[in-house]
Amino acid sequence: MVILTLLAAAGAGYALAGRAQAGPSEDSAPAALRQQGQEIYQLRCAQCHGEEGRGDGPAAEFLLPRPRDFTQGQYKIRSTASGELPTDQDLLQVISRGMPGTSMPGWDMLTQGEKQGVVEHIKSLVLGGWEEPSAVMRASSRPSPSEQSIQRGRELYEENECWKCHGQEGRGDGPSAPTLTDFNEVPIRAANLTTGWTFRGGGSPQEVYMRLRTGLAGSPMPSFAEALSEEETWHLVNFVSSLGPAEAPEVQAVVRARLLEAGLPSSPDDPAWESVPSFRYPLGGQVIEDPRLFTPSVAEIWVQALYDMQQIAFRVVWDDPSRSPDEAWIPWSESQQADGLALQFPADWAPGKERPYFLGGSSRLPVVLWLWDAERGAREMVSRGLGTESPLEDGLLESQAVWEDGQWRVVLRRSRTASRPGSLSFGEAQFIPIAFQAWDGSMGEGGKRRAASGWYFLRLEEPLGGEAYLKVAAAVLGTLILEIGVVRLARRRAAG
Amino acid sequence: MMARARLAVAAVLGGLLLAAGCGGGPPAEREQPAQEEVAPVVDPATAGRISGEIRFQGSAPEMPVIRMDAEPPCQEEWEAAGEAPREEKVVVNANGTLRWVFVYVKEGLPELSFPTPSEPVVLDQDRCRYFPHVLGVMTSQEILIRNSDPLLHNISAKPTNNRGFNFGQPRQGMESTRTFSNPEIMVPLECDVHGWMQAFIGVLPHPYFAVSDEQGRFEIENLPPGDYLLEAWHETYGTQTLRVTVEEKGSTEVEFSFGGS
Repeated sequence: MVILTLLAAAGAGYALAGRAQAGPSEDSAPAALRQQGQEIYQLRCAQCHGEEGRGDGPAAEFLLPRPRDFTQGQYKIRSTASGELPTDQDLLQVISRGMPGTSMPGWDMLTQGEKQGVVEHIKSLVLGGWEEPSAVMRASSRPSPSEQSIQRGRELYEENECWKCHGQEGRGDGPSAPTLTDFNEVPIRAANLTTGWTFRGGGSPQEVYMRLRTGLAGSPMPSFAEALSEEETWHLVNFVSSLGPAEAPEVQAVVRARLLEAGLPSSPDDPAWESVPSFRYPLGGQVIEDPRLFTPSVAEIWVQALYDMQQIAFRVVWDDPSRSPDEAWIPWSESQQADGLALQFPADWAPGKERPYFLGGSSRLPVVLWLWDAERGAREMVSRGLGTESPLEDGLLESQAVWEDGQWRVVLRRSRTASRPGSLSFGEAQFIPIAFQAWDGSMGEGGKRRAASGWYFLRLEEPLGGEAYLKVAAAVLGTLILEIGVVRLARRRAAG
Repeated sequence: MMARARLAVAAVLGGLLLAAGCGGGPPAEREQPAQEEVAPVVDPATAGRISGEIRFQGSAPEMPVIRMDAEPPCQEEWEAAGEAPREEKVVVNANGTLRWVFVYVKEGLPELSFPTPSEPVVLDQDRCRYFPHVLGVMTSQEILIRNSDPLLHNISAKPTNNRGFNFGQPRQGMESTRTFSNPEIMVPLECDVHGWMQAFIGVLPHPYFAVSDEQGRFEIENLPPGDYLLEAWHETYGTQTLRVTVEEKGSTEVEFSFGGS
């Protein structure tokens, strides 16, 4: 997230710098249009895509997936058949919207004429010259995503072996996922089909349909136009769309922990978790201190919390296609380490106090990490700056974890009261700072190379059970009786 | 056959004869100038051939066995045949020759027209491997790509001088055809589902190419007499060239030598 922000900021800066140039006239000659497009390209695109469009700009090595190499003419997002180049409209759409789930931002700050200029320039970069596509594909009309259609889609997902790359539950964890590479033999991830908001060409059913028909050129995703009928394609689309929302759920500032009377679940698959609200938090790479992580594998986590009189329990769920260490993933990283997670709290907290530095605290204001890894389980650590974790040997933190079909589900549970004077205890109705960190060991992540969030809050919600309503009702009733009494008294006095 | 040969002789010599003022010839040949835009075809009466062998020097590197346990339908067929599928980056034959070398005429061909064969070249996906591993095709000649396995393959072509493609064949018996319009040595084909699957296609504007077989042999036939530059390409050992002269109706034997460790 941090790198994205940096890039976006850089982009905005360039945009401002570029704005001073003469505005385009819509009917300018193609040569003038291309000339203008080239200038915009050098200003705003070349840092990632390279001056000559080879996808080798100075920022390219920090990005995953890699920026497009325009010389190859391999375009993922097209409305044209496999083997054909995209339409101008396809290119304009990508420039306007960007590529969700990648570092490519949308460039809506450009005028239509400027975008067209960039398109003309990009087209001039392809080796062997640009050939306009011979035909444009259109999505037929979508049959209703009925249960039968989704079921048929699931069968097609199975029969056509989409799971070989995308995994049984669509999380990009299929058996072929570790060895996938792009057109330039750089490793590339299979799409996680449960997060439609990261689909490169958009998560709407029509867009997913188009990707299945055309394939994503330059990536391992082939065209299924010859293999599936239009109707079958739609069933598959309906199934994929049923795996998750097309838009990212909103990030909430507060993890709301619920009170549970009957004892806290220790298993990640305890049915008690099903009715607990789940909060989504995006993570970004740690790019502040060496060694940095520019392409974090865990982009987001889901957090639930429960508490009773003695304890508090969190269930954290995140998608990770590999249960690390796993030698199948050596093409991605020679160093295969254990996957990990950390919940971070201030070491000492009271309402109104200053929050520690969000990345591992500092010597002045340390943090406590509930550090879990797949090999050693959970330990409570004190951190006085990134990479300075030292254990708190109180053994109060318990954990249970499950990895299944490309997903970790981890429960961390601890006593609510402080293990020692001055350390953290979890009081009700306070806004306690909480932050999250994660490591995907198969991607060579470990130590400082971690994904991290900023600070959010944890709040142990007071019970909203029958008792609370009763209190409110009693208060209302009491006020009413009192008011009637006062009114009667006043009338009697007036009459008397 | 003879009639066609005679016609071809006439086609080649026609221009010369006319220039020499000899004139004559049957009326049918008189009509040739109507097609003078078309370059003449090869004269089989004078054509010769190149044959040869690809020797392998040094000790043959052991090719790793491909683990196919993730694909039981393929694994089981290999086991039933009592074979272990190995990588094909270097295949040294029992007689010490090298297989899967693509040999072709690189330079020296006269201006002739080479009709595109109507028969497609077949590339099969069989037991999670491409067969053949190396093949040649003429520009615009159809390549029939078949899936003989009961599972998903995707066929991703990664050319540099042609447009790439990538399509899925999820069912047994599926067939698709593709063509390449520009010459290219060589176009790699890959299956992303099975990272070990790779094939190479040589695309040429003429039919003078061959791939060395299980005896390390290759043959290029129906070549007009002349001096040629012959190139041999191997995926691991790179390329080598030889100057070759083909005599009228002659047969020239050549030898390449790869490896040498």
